[in-house]
Amino acid sequence: MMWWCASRTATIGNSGPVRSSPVWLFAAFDPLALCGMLRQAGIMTNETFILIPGRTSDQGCGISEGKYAQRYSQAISTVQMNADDMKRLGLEEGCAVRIRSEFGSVVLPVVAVKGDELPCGLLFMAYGEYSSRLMGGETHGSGMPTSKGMDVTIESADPSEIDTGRIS
Amino acid sequence: MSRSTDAEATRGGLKIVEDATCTFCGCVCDDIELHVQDDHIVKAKKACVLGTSWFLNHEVEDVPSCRIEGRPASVEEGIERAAKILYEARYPLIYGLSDTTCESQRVAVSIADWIGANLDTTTSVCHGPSGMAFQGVGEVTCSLGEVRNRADLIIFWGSNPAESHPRHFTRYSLMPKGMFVPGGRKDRTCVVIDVRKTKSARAADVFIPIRPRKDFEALWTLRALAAEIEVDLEQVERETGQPLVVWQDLMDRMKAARFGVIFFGMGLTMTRGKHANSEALLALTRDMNRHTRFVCKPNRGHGNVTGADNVVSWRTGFPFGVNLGRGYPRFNPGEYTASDVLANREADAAMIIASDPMANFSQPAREHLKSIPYVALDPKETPTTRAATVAFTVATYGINVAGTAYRMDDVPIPLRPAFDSPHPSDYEILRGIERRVQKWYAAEVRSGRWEV
Repeated sequence: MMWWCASRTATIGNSGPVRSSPVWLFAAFDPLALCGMLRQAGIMTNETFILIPGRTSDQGCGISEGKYAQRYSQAISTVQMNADDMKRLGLEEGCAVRIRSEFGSVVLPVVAVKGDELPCGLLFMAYGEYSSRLMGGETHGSGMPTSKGMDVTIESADPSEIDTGRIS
Repeated sequence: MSRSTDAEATRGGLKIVEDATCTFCGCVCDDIELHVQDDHIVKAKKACVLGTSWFLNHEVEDVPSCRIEGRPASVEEGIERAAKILYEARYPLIYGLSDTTCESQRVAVSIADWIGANLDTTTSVCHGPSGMAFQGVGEVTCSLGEVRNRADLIIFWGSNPAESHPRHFTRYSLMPKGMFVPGGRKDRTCVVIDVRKTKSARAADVFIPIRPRKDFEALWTLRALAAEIEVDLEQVERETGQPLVVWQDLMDRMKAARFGVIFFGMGLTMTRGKHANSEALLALTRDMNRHTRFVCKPNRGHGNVTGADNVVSWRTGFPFGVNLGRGYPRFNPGEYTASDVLANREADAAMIIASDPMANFSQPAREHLKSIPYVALDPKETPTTRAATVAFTVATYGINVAGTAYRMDDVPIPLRPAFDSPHPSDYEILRGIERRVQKWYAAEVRSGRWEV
């Protein structure tokens, strides 16, 4: 999958390589503090990823438990990213990120996928309320909105903005 | 709805339901043993993780069977109001149907016919593009029993059954020892093609990671290789993310197989290309029959979504996205499909049966649905039932309600319910609505407003 990683830049926004930023010093102490520092320093990750919403076991079991029960809410309200991407962008486990498509945006915590499940440049989240907010209404004559392989941008967000638990 | 009792027994104070049918996913496993105590299931033997959660979490909901504008109401009042909403609408939409019995689906189609509604099922946002492709190319296919007994090469393309259909591997495709594959797993080769290394990929002999949104290019590369047409090495690698040698190796395996099968999922239908992707895969399968026996099958998600395709097809001639507004069926995905009818702000009323568009549809579609009067039927509370004008809490099919569901390979399977529910079935609600609209329609015909 190197073809995909190789085409990407290792910088964030207009602030140059993230590893040169002093906010990295905070990473060892408190990940959420790092997220806050990223925002205060105006350092935003703002590059294009491809989002793949899909089914997961937890999401499937959660449907049976109830859409207002904790398991389903948790399953659909996390975005997964390759660990290398997270490291490159200075994102820690649980950091809030704003995911923005052409049609909407959501703020969710980001977690690293285990192993090599997700290549660099891709994001994954379970189908649900939040993935639907990023879809457009156009179906291109098929009846099916483009629900996988959506272009999105991500940027750091304040943890207080996380959409979790606000299912309508 | 009558309940089947031929497979029930009592053991240690528990009612045992043998050969119960799980209707959570399209596998529709019909070998489950349920242990039932009063009005809840305490054990579901042989069920997968999804099936166990399905059976153990459908207890009797202590909520009103009907709510009108959020307030508890009698079922009769609800049926009257629902029928009125639908009958008085100029462009009513009936949508959902994939998580209920074929018997209920049949009544829903009748209502659509009586009121001249736009009828669509969750197929349109699942394998609807494949449904379009079937019409264009045809489908070389088989039952899951044939896969179990014959298939020695199994390809999963854009599908992750390890999470979406957990018993697919063990019951139908990879593991079983079949008539012509007596060694089971060791007699079969499994290939997974996906944009990410899913849990299914870990069970495969070969995993081919493909560039996102490039399924069409990869499928046509394989079609070219099947026909031994020369292709551009650099272009193949640039477009698909894999060198030609990887695709040639796969084609060699496909040609060498005695019986090959491709199970494909929404990784094809929901992404760039949609029905063109499915068409390419169906055409590749057809091409492969010049070399060996090859079939394909969409992995269907909801328990009776295949039943919805069948029922709507045998009642209207089309599988989904059907408009009956002119008194005869018209089929046009992109126009008569629910996502479009709502996002284009065309429907002025709706009835949503056993699905949750308020959680799963695009924002413009959801906003419009929220702005019109609509009826919702569901065993559980969902964002769709919460915003409905009339919401019915109904008994759960397969757990409280008998009937028929179609497995993903179009095999109809009877349901054996475990215990009664105080809530009505959606069949009873739909029949009540149908009787009312029939009566009003007959009155209008008698008054001379309509010609028969």
